[in-house]
Amino acid sequence: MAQYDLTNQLSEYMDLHLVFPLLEFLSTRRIYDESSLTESKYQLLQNTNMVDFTIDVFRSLHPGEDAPAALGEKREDVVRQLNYLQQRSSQVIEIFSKQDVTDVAEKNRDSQELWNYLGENYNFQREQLEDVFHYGKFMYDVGNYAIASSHLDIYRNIAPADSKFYSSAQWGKLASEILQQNWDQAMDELERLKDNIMAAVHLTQSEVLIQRAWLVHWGLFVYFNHPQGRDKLIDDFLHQKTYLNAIQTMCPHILRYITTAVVISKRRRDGVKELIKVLQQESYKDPITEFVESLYVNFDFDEAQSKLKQCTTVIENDFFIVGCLDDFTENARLIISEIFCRIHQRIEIDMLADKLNMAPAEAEKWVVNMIRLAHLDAKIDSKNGYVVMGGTSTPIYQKLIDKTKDLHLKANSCCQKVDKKLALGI
Amino acid sequence: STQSTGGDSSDESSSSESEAEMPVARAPVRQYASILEESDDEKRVVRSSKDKRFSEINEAIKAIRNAKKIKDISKVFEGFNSLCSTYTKSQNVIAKNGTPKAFIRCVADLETFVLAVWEDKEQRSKLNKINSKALGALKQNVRKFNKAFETDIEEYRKNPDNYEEVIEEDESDNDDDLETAKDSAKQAKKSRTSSSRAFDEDDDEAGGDGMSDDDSDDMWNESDDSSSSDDEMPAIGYTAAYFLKKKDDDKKERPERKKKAPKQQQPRTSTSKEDEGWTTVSGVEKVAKEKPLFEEGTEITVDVVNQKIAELSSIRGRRGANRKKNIETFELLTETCYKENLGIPVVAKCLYYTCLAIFDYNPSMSACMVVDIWVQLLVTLDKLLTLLEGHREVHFVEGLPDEEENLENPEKPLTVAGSILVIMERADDEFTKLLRNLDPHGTEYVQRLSDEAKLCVVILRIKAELATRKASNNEMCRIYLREIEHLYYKVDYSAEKGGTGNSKAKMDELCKFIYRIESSDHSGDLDRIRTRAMLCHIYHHALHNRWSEARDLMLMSHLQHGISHADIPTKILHNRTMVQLGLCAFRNGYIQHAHTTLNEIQSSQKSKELLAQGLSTQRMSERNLEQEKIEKQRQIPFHMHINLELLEYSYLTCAMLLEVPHMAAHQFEQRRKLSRTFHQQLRNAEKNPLIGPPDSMREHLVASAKAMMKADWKTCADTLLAHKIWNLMPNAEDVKAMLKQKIKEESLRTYMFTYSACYDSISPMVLSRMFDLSNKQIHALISKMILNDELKASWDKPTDLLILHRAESSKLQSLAKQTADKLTHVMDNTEKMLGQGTTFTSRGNAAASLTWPNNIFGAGNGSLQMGFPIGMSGDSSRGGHRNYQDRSRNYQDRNRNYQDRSNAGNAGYNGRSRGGYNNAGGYNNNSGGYNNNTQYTSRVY
Repeated sequence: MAQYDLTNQLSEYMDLHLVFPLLEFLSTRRIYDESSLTESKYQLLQNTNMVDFTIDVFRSLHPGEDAPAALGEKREDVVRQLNYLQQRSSQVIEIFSKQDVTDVAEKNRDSQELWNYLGENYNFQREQLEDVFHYGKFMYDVGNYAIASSHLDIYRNIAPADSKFYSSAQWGKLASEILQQNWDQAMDELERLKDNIMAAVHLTQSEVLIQRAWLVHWGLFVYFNHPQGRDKLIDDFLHQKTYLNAIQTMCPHILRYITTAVVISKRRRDGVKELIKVLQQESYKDPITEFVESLYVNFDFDEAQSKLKQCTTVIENDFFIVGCLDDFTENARLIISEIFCRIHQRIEIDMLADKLNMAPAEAEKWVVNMIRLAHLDAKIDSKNGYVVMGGTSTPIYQKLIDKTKDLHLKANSCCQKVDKKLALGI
Repeated sequence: STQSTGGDSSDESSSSESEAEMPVARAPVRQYASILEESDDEKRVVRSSKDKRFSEINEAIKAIRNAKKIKDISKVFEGFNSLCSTYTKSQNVIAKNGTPKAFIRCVADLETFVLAVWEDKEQRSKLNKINSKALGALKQNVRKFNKAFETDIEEYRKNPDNYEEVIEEDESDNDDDLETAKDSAKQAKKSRTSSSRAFDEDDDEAGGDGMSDDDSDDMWNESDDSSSSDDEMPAIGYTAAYFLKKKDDDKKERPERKKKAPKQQQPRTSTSKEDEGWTTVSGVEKVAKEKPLFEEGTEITVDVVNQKIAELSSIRGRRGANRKKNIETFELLTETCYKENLGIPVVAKCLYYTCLAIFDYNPSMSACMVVDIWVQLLVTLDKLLTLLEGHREVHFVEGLPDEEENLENPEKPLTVAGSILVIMERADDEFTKLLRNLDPHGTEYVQRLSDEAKLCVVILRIKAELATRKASNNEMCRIYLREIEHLYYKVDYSAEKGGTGNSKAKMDELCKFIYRIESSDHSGDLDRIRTRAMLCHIYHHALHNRWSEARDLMLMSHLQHGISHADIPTKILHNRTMVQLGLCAFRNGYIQHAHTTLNEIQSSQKSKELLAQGLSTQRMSERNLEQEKIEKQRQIPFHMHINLELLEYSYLTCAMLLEVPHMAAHQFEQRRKLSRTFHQQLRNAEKNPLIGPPDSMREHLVASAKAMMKADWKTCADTLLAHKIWNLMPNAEDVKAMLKQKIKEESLRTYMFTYSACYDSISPMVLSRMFDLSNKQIHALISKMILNDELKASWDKPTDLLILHRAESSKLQSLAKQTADKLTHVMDNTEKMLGQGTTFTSRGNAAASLTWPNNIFGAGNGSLQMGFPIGMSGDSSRGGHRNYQDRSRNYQDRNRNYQDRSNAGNAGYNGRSRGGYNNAGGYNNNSGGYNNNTQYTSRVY
């Protein structure tokens, strides 16, 4: 299934630390060679400050060998830096936790006055604030996301929005929340970042585009873990032109996730039209998008059915949507049957079962359920084993009557309006 | 050519004749000189601002002197006035270089002269009225004017010799150059030490630009003089001064000599060796001999050549100039430089000017070059290029003033003013012109076409040269564009046969180079280059059937936005690209796309003009001569043409495939016509009293459309595909197969629309047999129709039948429906008028009864301009047009294609740490998108 694996494309837009979960997931799926995965993990780790972890990975990669000396040196270096930054940032935090400072800060946040006050009383320079950020970043690199998150938060709350590291801090915060799996906070962060990107005037168009692409990718963590994530994903990515543009331009592979979200969404109908348009424009293809296309564009149920089978494997091997597998299968069936029923008058249950990848008995049960839940206007002819659709189209006379029957009411109300106006003498 | 001067004068007369004959053709010469060689022109101004002014002053002085001699006071007065105005015009030059001594001398002499005449009462009384009046005015003016130069005049009066000498030297210098040029042109081995401008002074024609007359006198006199002045040879200046004093004596002889001049010319030049053996040396030696004339040997020699070039180029485009001769002169000069080892830069410069002279050969911009001349140009260009390739230290600098050229000082970078790129571009343009003017069906055309390969080689070499010389981005882009423009329309057959299409890679490489250039300055030039490169890129993709690449690039590029502001050649290229895109869509079976893309250009009825492939005849009357001429100049050479017949046939086929089922589906409704042109064809065919077997392309089409209306796919396909024009289509067999398939499908749809009312149920097996489609295909097609609410029917699986629900409305019913719709509309309007604002909820009922599939096309699309239509359903009641608003992306945004994507994943989370993307600007998500997707620019002009 490696051909449908997107980790490579995805990681291009991910932060280094965010790639680890993906790699971990892949190693459990065993679709790649284990050692090559570990190797790439090791490569990644070299760029972080998580030295201990690196050493561990190295040992698993080369059992019996000692970790390279460079790593040991790096470890010491990291510890030294850590202490230094910690000390520097704690000074700042100390200042900002003082009562008088918070008072002033509350009164004039972001203003010159606060800085003047700090400068006079604590000999505080603006640059010192950056130590907090550096410490946060360092902690993130080390892998201590909780501390990173809290420090970046502090920095972000104090620093004015035009500071050098402000947007970096935001991205860092989002990453930290994602890695701590605080989905609610992460969602909030995502929203904030979105606003920020929207409001950013100093960024060039292509920078904005790139940032959007990052947001889309990082957001996948959140959208597929947060309870309302899927619907939000549709709203944010499919219905917002700016993000859709970014996806089409930079990373059409995201369409897989949008498609998945649309299929499992309760409000499928709104999304599907838009989605079909987009899918038609893009050349990106995988079983999931092909499934939707075969249903809504080609009306080829056989193909849809075979694609649905493939979808299962694809979903099983995708870090983000693996949790949606059941939902997806269920909804895909629903879609198939919905369309199937619309074009048929009578169907054998066996055939339906076949199209839905179910056993006949199971399918019958499923149809019964559908009928009971009023999803389906049909009856089961159990002697012959048919499902008979009800409700043919409304006759033309009925349509005409429907169309014209309000005219009477409307005309009446208009008359009243006229009368009223006449009475008022307008 | 032994008679240079005689030739000159005859040429002059001939050119003035031709001028009289065709006054229109005259104008472009100047235009050419000033516009095309802008850099050159500029140079000339810079160089000659001093010289020119001074020579103007000299001219005026001469006129005064001449007039003085015949005591024509009014002429003197005129001359004085012109001298004054020239003087004021030259203020800034004079301020730099000091007042010319000749000028001082002249005004001083004039004063003396006026006073003398004034004093001479007797003579004054003899003067006629005009002259005496002029004398008074002159006297006053001169006195007033001279006050400004009192000191100078005084000084002059003290030692007049001082003054004369200088002028004469100057003059002799100039004349010398001129003579040298002439000499080498006619290969007359003759040297001269000084010229005898002085003797011309009473030449009445000197004031005009009768240069050749002037010259003939010169030569004449001078040979005479030189014999008498051989003793003084070394001291040129003095010699001249010496002659000057003798002028009065010579004067009497003048008229005689003048008469003799033209006659004597010929024998003298041809037999110059015998006549004046002691002065006759070879042209090369002449240059060498000139060395001692100036203090420093070699350097001055370079200067001499330089000055000669300047001299020669200053007469460029003047009517007196012999253009053919000019070319030869320059070639000779080049040779001389070679022989004399004057250094590469000088040779390069000579070659460069030879090219320019070749361009000058054409009297008018619109006329095309003579083939031989063009070949000569190519050869010269080739030489120049070879020279430059061998000598990387020599640089051509565009727009460099002549004074700043460095032709010999090896310490500083060697620079020559001019641009080889400009020459190449012009040569390329001339080549296009050449082809345009040839009969495309003649063998000559093919022969010329074979020259293109050589031209391409030259382009490649220049590209390499520019690249090694680190030319500016702009220049690189220009050369790249030239290469692209020679490549884009050529079909890469190796790619088609499944080989490695290197032209695609080449094209990608070239275009991406241009895209990558940062458009920091949005100068129109670079933008234009980029636009053209992009269009060529799209064209090339489309030509090679790479539909999605071509479409994506077209959509991303925002080209459609700005194209209406582009220049006309770019618009034409855009039209060509769109047509090619449409054809590509057609070949790939995207009928709907093809139709929309081609519709615009076909419905206008002037595809010939839009594609610059000839002029359509029926509109001749609307066009005046001038316009026609302009349009002719825009024509694309024949070998780049897109076959218009094929284009039209493809378009009409698309229209048929879309329109026939559409007509069947909306039999009773006043349908919206998808293609006017198609209907027009049908109507025209109906006018025929007798319909014979199809012969022309249109008849074939109409016949097959008629067959399709009867759902007779076989006849339809046979008739349509019988026309041999399809063979011109690349991959003809594939396209035919595709069309056959489409015809089957659309025939089925037509059949279902037309005849479904007659059936209660129908077996897909029957349909399958009727339309030669597989059961599965029938199933898919009909399912699609059902889901799109085009067909009221449903499948009965157990019996495997299609049950039709008889929902097709009769004419009465559909009219009733329309009435109801209209009533609702009236009601809504009334409500609005009453200011009720909110509408009734029930209004949505009609929409609600339409279920999902119809909504997919969104009701709102009707108001939007058409974009590329989506091929989702071949025929949708709503037209199925999709607009591309949602795809308003910029090609630059798609940096992934053109710029390296650095690894975002590993970049850490500092959002701005990545520098790999340059900001191309113009990314605007909400910029209105693709509304005018298919807007053909033609309307603008």
